[in-house]
Amino acid sequence: MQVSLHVNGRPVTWETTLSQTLADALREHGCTSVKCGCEQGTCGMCTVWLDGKPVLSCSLLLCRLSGREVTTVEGVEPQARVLASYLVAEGGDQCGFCAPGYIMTILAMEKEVSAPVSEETVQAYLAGNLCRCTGYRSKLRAAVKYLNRSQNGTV
Amino acid sequence: MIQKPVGKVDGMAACLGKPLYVEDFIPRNALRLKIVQSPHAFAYIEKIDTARALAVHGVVCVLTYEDVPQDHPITLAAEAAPEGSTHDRVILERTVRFVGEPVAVIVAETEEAAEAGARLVDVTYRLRTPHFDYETAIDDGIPLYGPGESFVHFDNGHVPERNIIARKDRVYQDVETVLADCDVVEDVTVHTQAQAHIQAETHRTYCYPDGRGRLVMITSCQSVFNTQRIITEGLGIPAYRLRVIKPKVGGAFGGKNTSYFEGLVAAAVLKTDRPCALVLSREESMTISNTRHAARSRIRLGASRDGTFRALDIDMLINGGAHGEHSFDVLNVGGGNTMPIYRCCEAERFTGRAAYTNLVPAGAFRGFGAPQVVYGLEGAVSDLAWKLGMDSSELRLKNIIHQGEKHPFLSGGVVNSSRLEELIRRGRELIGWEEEYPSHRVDDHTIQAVGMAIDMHGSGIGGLDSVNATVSLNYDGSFTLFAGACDLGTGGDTILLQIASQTLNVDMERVQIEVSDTKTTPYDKGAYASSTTYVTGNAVKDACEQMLRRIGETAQKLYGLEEPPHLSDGELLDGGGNRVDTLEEFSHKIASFSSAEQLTCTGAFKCPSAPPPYVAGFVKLRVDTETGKVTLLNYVAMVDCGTVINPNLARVQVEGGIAQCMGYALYEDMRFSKTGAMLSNDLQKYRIPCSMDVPPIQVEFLESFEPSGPYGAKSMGEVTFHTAAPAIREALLHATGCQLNTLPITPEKVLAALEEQKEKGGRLPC
Repeated sequence: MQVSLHVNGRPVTWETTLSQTLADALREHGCTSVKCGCEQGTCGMCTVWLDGKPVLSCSLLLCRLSGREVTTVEGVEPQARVLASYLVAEGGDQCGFCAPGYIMTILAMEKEVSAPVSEETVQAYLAGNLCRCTGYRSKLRAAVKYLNRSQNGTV
Repeated sequence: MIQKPVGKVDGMAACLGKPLYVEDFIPRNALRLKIVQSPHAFAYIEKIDTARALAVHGVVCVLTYEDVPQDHPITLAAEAAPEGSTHDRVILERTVRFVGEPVAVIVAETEEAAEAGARLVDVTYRLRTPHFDYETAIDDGIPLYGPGESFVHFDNGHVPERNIIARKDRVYQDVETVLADCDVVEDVTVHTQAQAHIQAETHRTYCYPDGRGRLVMITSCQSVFNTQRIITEGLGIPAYRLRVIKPKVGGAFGGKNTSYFEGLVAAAVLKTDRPCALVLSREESMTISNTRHAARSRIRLGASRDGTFRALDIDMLINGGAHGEHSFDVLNVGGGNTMPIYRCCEAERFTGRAAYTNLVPAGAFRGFGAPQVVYGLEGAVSDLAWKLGMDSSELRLKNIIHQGEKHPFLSGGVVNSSRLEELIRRGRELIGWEEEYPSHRVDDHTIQAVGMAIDMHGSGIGGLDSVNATVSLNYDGSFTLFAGACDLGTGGDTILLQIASQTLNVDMERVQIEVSDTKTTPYDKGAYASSTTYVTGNAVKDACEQMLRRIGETAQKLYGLEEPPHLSDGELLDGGGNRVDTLEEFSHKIASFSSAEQLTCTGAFKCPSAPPPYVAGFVKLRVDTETGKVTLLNYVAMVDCGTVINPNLARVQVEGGIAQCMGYALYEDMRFSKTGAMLSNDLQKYRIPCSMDVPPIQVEFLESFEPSGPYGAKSMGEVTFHTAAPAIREALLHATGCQLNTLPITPEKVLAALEEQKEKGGRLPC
């Protein structure tokens, strides 16, 4: 079967099956930023945007997304690069496997909150993005610095 | 370039999701593998009928025990040869010894076909009686291995008919005599559970034939050379026929230091002569690979009334599960990287045994035997201080080992660098020890308390580890560093580049690094035992120092100078500081027709000893005496890892290690059914810390200078792990007076301990 949707701003028509997940489809079409860590909607590594909101792409079937707008890191690379520079500066990327999911979550958060943002707020937002390497603190530091960068005059 | 917080060389690309990891390199035409797992904990395979599976459209072949050599037991532990691990398996077994052990592998055109085929393999098993309790496994009359089914390179205490995987004993003087003479003896037995690694990236391997009779393997592993050696041994082919490449790894923590899956994929390529790939699901990764060793550790600590330690006796029994990977060395570390944190007593003894059970194998996991023992040892110290009415930090200060002191169980025998005493003193200030110690009541059901623990580890494996590193000067004046080391996400590649550019006295951009490829990089034992900075770093420094001498000698000849010039900021300067030439021009000249000289230097490092880094960890927490819930308020980690090569990467290592141990301390637990099936087999049933669970962690480094380390550096990968669990235990002792001796410390266990204390007529300390 085929499904038509928008991926990273471009209209696409993809061949799919009744059981193919959005995560698998995105990877199949070259979006290597989409990582799968648990296949059951727990780890947050496969976070992408569906119509601008963060969702877990391992738990969505592509065949149900006709006409929807999907965004991955590849589609927001300029903003992702800015946030990533904060994460790398903190050393918070470590193995990097969960970093794209983290980036999509924090960039979505940026659209919903206004500075100044506290560490506790970020901590709650990130509860669904597991990371086994860093213990999260560096990721919180990076996100807080990024989200408050206009206030700190570091834009 | 050292002591600078430079970002990781591959950090930006990883964040942006560029193709860096194994799965990103698997082409569409690769065959996909699916493992058929055993439903039984202990069974002999009478027959495998693959006819129905082979009939599935898209299934190419099915691998069984008949496809791999069966006569030569190997170990899958990716350790340097000769491995201490007991050799007790083959690539695909005819006898399965745990629920989940691979029975067959479906090789198919698509994942769907492989999965369909896996459901249609008909296996006839002859069931055997399994056993699951490691505390009763030794001598229970149910040996997992028969004659000829296991093998050891040297006597590691392996006795298959008694279910003993390995044994390790250390003895210094007569511990029983001294214990009998002590004023006070603390005797504590702790049980520490199996823990799952939960690397973000599950295990995965891709392999293809190169058209010249060789296989090229891209795999998420911790040691390319050991993987190459083990797998080719298991398949009965020469090592040169397999090239192993490690791309970026999405976390490992020891869990990828056993080559569980590489042999299956290589066997599939040998059989099909086509590219083959295996990407494991989370459940498969958890149920087929390995865990931290569950352990029972009994600590007897004898002291005089003033708190001076006089005798220390540790008896450690670990659960190796169904196979012997790493068990011997886990016992080695269990004594060697724990006991020498205190000044050597009048007598000390370590007795370690590893038992076989029919559970998923245990293996390497950050800390590697030390966290289990440290939980008991620091627990005994906490209990002793409590009993003597002494401040636990003072008791530790009274007994710790100092720089220049010797210990018979310490690798190398003597401490050449330590600021452990200052770690404790400074950590007390940061946590607010004086105000908080030991505990105070917040309200009618909440008590706040502080606790601490100290630990050490090694840097590499003394007397065993050896690595090489090569540096080349290119015609454009850049350098290429070739290292077989394996960056697992920790930033090892960046650290090695910092050491190289520091030694060569050039910008980091001028040095490129090529890593982790058995074909193009020199031998390195790989990333385990906290090695990259200390062991490989030393080899890199050696190679770069040789390069400086070669450049000087070559330039002296080329320019007809009296003295060799030296390299500074990309320029060659003579003794008076005058520019002789730029490095770029010099490189062009020596590469040209007149010279045709390629400067390449290979450095080496043989690890003489494993100098210990130290951590002092302090926790402030609250416990709810009505619900048993423990809430961590904050953590202070004081670290002496020698010179800190990269402060940011080091800090994140510390925070990550502590967070992993917080999960180990409070809730991470691998549960099994009565028939040995893993119940906590995915991320919904096995909980790891999320962002809400990890409190603020304050990290401070106090740098000692390790004379044998590169620029004074020691290791820091594993030492960061151990303190959180015993520090939490101590804080709970201070809060409640109860000894929580079984991990994880769930609210149920806290409540049960409070209940028991009440029944015995005890009361809360505040």
